[in-house]
Amino acid sequence: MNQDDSHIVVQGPRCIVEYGVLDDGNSPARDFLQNLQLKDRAQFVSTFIEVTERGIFGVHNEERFKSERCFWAAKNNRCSGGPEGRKRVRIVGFRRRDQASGIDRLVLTHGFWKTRTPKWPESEFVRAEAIRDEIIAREDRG
Amino acid sequence: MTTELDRLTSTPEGKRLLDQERLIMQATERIVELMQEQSVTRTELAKRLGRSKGWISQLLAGEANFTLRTLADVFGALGQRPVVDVAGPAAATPTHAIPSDLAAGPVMWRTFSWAVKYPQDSSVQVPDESLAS
Repeated sequence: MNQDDSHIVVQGPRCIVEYGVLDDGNSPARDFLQNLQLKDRAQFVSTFIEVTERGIFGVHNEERFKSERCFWAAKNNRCSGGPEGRKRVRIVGFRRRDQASGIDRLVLTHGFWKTRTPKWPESEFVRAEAIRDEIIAREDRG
Repeated sequence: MTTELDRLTSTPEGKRLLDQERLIMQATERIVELMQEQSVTRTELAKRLGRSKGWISQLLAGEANFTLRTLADVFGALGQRPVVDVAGPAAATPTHAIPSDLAAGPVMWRTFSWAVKYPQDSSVQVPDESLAS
């Protein structure tokens, strides 16, 4: 990993938000976020800053950050450049305690363009679970 | 180490956009906090403002192009009077090394309660002593 390849998105007093990195070195969340337009990236980063300062459970505004089953998602409903005119983006992550510092980590698994239907496609949960399990297994192996 | 925040704020345009979004995030977060503290639903807040519930959702999502007048109305509907304060340098990087009050961005929202009473005797109450510092 070189200096420009850090997996940290934002770190603050109550949480570290980071890109989840797969065993092959790829990071679906990083690839997704960095391909968004600058304005949309700025909105997501502002949400993550709030998470790092307030903690994962300290953000009240569910229009910007909320739990979905056992995952967390940052939301933006007005992103530009989506397929088929889609504007709703969700960046998905899971909570894990940092063993060294003892503070929470929000590990981002991936992002996706959501349709106008209220619920997430089941495939996005499956994808998030697969990425989460791969990351946790590697970290637990040390 | 270069974080995503560092990359975003490495250009003036990135800093500018982030400061905009942080201000919106802080304002909407404060609105939701007040709604929860007062058990005010979106429907109730919409009714007080003469708006739709969908408009409230857009406001909280940061989608509505709300003005300072709109924000004053929203806080007013929650019994609060907002004041604007400058908190620190633009797009300050929040890290463990920087106090959270400096890392909060250029502008912060604070609110006074309209419910504060000013009695006739000399014991005048100050709404929020932290603003005096």
